[in-house]
Amino acid sequence: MSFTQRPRTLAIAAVTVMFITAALTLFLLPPGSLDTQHHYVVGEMMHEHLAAIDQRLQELELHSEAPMACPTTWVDTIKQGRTAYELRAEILFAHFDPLRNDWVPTCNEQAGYYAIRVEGSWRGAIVPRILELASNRYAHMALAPVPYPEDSNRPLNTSPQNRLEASETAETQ
Amino acid sequence: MTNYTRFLPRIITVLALLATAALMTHYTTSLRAYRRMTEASSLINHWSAAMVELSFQDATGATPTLPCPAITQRIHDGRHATYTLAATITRTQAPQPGMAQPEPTCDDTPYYLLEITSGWDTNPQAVRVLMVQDMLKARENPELLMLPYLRNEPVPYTVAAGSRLEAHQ
Repeated sequence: MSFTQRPRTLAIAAVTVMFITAALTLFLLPPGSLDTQHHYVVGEMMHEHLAAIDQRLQELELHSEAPMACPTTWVDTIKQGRTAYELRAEILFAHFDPLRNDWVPTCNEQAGYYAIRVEGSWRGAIVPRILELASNRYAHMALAPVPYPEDSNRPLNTSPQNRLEASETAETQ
Repeated sequence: MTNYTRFLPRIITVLALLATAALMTHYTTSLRAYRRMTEASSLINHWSAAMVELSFQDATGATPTLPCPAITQRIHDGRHATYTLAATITRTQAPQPGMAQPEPTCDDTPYYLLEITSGWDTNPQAVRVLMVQDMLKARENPELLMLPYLRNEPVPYTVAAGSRLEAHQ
């Protein structure tokens, strides 16, 4: 006996499909929810990845004999769950431009900062997530170490942002 | 009674299928809007940076090169739509307390007013950014301006004088 000969069964099936569709499209997986979830995960991952970038920069500038290439690019793939996230880090040097009140990426060897740009993406990403920041160069810090503020009770954190903050505080003092 | 029991399941089936179709249409429409908004918002960041750079070049140049109002537009083929990036650069007066929105002017002031939009064919101004750049320091010390490392710009943009402001006045 086919479905068309059993209208009640067909009605129950249609109503079930409708409820499942409503649950999926309105509550469980609303439009953009997966993208937002990946966006959040890759954001956390990118901030954690900054520590690895920091370590690589330190090795490259202080322990490598060859000069640092400009731009330097590192591409890492990190798998979490069933999704592979690609983190692409591009490092240039940077000047602080007082006119723009911002850091300006450059390839000038004399520049005192790194311009770090991390792009996180995954398969099916609408747009990649981008993180841009500047930090003091290790090559310059080795010549003139930046003192850590004595009156600060903050825990010593060697992330690029915190090193930058420490440097700015030292300069203003 | 016979008709009622005979037709009610069929009516319910048809209504449920219509509701499912409506839900699917709503989902695909919303997803398309989400994708377009996300892409347009991302594009406007790069476009804004290019327009701010253009203002700096104008303010620090020996002679200002931008017409007033300067209007520029670029078409960008994205993954989910073709986007129109547009910008209008004028000047404005110094920000005053209580000023709701900066008024565009063509007076020679160091405050550059940038109106930047991004959108697609049916919604060309989906994302709109209005910003004022203080170029006083840049004008007084043009030699201090540092040129940034430029990433590859896919399509050059052109700047044309617009007639919108004159028409408004």
